[in-house]
Order: sequence, then C-alpha cells, then structure tokens
Amino acid sequence: MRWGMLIDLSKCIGCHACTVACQQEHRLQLGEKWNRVLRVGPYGKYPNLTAYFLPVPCMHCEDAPCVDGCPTGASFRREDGIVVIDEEKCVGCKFCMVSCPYGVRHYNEDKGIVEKCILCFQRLDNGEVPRCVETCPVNARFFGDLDDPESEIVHLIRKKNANPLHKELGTKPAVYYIFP
Amino acid sequence: MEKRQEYFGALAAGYFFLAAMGAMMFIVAAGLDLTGNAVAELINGWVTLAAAVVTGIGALLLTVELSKKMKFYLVMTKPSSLMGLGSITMSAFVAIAFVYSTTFFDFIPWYPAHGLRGVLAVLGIIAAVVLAAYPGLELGEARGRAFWNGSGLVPLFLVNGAVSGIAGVLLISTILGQAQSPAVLALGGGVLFGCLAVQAVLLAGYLMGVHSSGAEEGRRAVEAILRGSLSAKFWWGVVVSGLAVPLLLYLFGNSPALTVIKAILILIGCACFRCVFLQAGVRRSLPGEENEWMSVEEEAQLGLRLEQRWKEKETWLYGGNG
Ligand code: SF4
Ligand code: SF4
Repeated sequence: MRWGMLIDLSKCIGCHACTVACQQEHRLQLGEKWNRVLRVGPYGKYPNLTAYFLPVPCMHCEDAPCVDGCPTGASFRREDGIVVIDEEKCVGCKFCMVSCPYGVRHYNEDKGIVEKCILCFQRLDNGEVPRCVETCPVNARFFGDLDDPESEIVHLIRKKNANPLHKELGTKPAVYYIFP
Repeated sequence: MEKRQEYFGALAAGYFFLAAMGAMMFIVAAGLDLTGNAVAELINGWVTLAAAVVTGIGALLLTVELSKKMKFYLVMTKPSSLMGLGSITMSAFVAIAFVYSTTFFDFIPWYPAHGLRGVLAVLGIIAAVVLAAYPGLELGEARGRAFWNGSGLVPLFLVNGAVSGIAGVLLISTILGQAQSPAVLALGGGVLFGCLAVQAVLLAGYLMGVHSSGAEEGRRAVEAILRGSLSAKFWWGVVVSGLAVPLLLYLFGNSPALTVIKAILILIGCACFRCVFLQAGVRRSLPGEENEWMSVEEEAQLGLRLEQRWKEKETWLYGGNG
C-alpha cells in the first residue's frame, strides 16, 4: 500500500480552495501554506499563449531526502508511504528544509518545529480522503493506492501519461500531474 | 525567491567555518608532533586547546541555531544521517583535542604521557578529517541544488579549511613567540602560499564548472556570487581579504607583524567563503514559482468565504442541527 495523488492541471482553475481548506483543516496561520498553488505562464508566443495552475503539496517521496537527512529521526516514512514529522523529536534544525527539493516544508516559529502536508493521514485513518481532494470544486485531484494496479489513480496515471515534478531528481514522488 | 530559501544563516556558516578551522589546526599540530618536530612541544598545548575551544564555540553556534536547544542531544541519535555523524564526530573531536592538549602542560598530573599523546594524535587526526570533510558531503547530498552538487566541493572545503587552520596555528605560534622557528616559517611560507594558490584555482574552477553545468539554479547561484546579492562578500571578503592581499603580502617578507595581519585577513576571507557558499545553494525552481501572488488579505477573504460555504452546506444537509 502506498498512498498517492494525481492532479489534473488541465482541470485546475487556480481557485486556491485546496490551499485554504488545508489551512483550515490543519489550523495553519495565515501565510503558512502546506499546499501552494503556483501560476505558470503565460508562456509561448502571442497570440498562442498558455498558462496553467500548479498545486504543490508534499510529494511524499519514496526516496525522501528529508527523511535521510533528518539527524533526529523526526522525519520518517509511514508504512503507507506518507512522510510525517514527529513533533516530539523535531529540534528545528531546518536541515530537512534544505534537503527537500520541492520547498514544501515550513518552519513554525511558535512551535519551533518544521511542518508540512501530511496527506491528512488522520482523515485517511477514518476512511475519508484528504481535505484538498474533497474540497476541489472541479475534481482536479484523484487519490488512491499507487501499489494497486486496479486502482483508478493507477489507471489514470497510465492512460494520461502523468508524471511527477522534477522526476530527474530521483526522489520517486507519490504525487503525479497530468500536464496541460 | 532566493531570500525565502535562506534556511542556513550566519550561525551555520560560523559553525562550518569554526569546525573546519579547529579540525585543521589540530591536524597541523598533531602532524608536527608525530613527525617529531621540536616546535610541537612548544606550541601544541595551546594550539590544540584553541582547536578544541574554536570547535566547541562552533558547536555552540549550531545549538543556538536549534529551536529546541535542550533537545540538542537528539541530533546525535541517527548516525546514518550525515548531520548526525558530523555532530557525533564533532563531540568526539572536542574531547580528544582537549585531552591531547593537556599532555603538553607540566602542571597536569599525567604530563607528558607520550604513549597517550601519540594515540590521541592519530585518533584526533581521523576525527578532524571527518569533521572537515562532512559539511561538503552533507551539502552535496541536497538534490536540486546544483551549486552544492559539484564533485569539487569537498576538496575545495578541505583546502579552505586547511588555509584557516594554518592561519590559526600561525596566529598562536606568533603569540607564543615562535613565529621565527623553522617549522612555523615553513608553514607560513611555502605551505600556506601553496594552499592559497590551490584554493584560488579550485575556487575559480568550481564557479566556472557550476556555471557551465547547464542547471539553471547553478547559474543563478554563480550570478548571485559574481554580480548579485553575494558579490560584496565574495569580492571583498573571499577574494581581496582571503586571497589577493595575503598573497601580495608575501612580497614584503615574513615578519611576525605581517604574519599576524596575513592570518587575520585569511580568517576573515575563510569566514566569508563559508557564508557565500552556504547562501548560494539555491533550489531548482518549480514552474511558476516566481509568480506567487496571493496576498495574506486575499487568503483571509477566501478562507472566510469557504467557511461560510461549508456552514451553508451543513445547514442544507442537516437543517442547522449538525
Ligand atoms: S516533497 Fe520534500 S518534504 Fe515531501 S517527502 Fe519529498 S523531500 Fe520530503
Ligand atoms: S527540523 Fe526537525 S524534522 Fe527537520 S531535519 Fe531537523 S529535526 Fe528533522
């Protein structure tokens, strides 16, 4: 079992509902985002211009540099592939923020620890899907087991030729994108 | 974007600088001792005590950088991470260097403990090599930060550490009145000159190599160093103070006063080198990362709207009894 997500960028309208829903679910401070939505473009040559939106949560990498680099073992990978942070063990050295090539880790000044998207594992344990997946008004996000060849997410990844971000870095992300 | 990526600040740069300097001071001193050089008996006590203190101050800076300072010991619980290994080695090194230094002071009961001294010299050199090399390996591990991924980073860090270590030994030897002893003269003469020259070549080669590697973040980093936000620290600190002026001073002889000036300038240059190299390690951009545009006010408004929408949905589903 390995939880993963697929985001269809041709559907995403950049409404930021997922960002805000995530902030509310995890009671984050204003300005702290575990799920940024970037606007790419417009690029191309006038009048053939293209732009799209790119949501960026933690990629829950299989070969996670943040986990390897953490000197206390606070950052670790669960059996189901979700990369989480043990608040008791995190000493706030911020080395994981340097190791993560996707810039998805945030330092929480008040708690003195590093935080990031945890794929709403507390909801998954209750049989629900992550809040961002539930909230997306255009159903641009799909969620499921990447190890199950029969799952909808695996079918879609194959059919739509989805790819992770910066695949060349070899971190084996669990978040895939259908690029427009 | 570069500003938001600066997770390693001046404290970490200070730690890397002091740890490398302390480690290399010990290697130089223990080397003189193991090769039977007479000056070792006169300077090694203070030089290696200073090495332990300098590294200890570095460790302190690292602890200050942690937000949970009282849990600093956790950093040594995972030796499979390079940072964990570095912290363990650093603690061992400080202890070894301190005990080694005590074997040179005649008021210490176990003075001169020649057998123990030899063993500690070898153990200390091993720990010092790891301590001087691991920061380069640690940074080199960061994926998507091409500026740190060059294979020349570890040799460059080692040579820079050697330069700062020699400068430290020269300073203390001069304070102890040993500036004109043959071994110290050789150290401040050919050895230091050679290390400075090698550092200049490696540095230029490293910057050119990263710039031409094709990685966009590598090019951005070198641009920031040569012409951008890090250029003052690089040109005035690393190049002028750390390399050019000390090399020029060789034209004016090797008086103790000149040696002290040279050593101080070199140490300033080496500290700037660590700052520049830490801050230049920017991350590969994600598509669109330059366009992050939603303000905190917009975010708050959106949050309120979403909250309201959920309330409406709840009322609709449960008739207000949810
Ligand atoms: S995206 Fe970053 S924080 Fe998330 S698992 Fe990968 S390396 Fe770790
Ligand atoms: S900040 Fe916390 S989670 Fe990150 S590397 Fe340090 S101890 Fe590990």
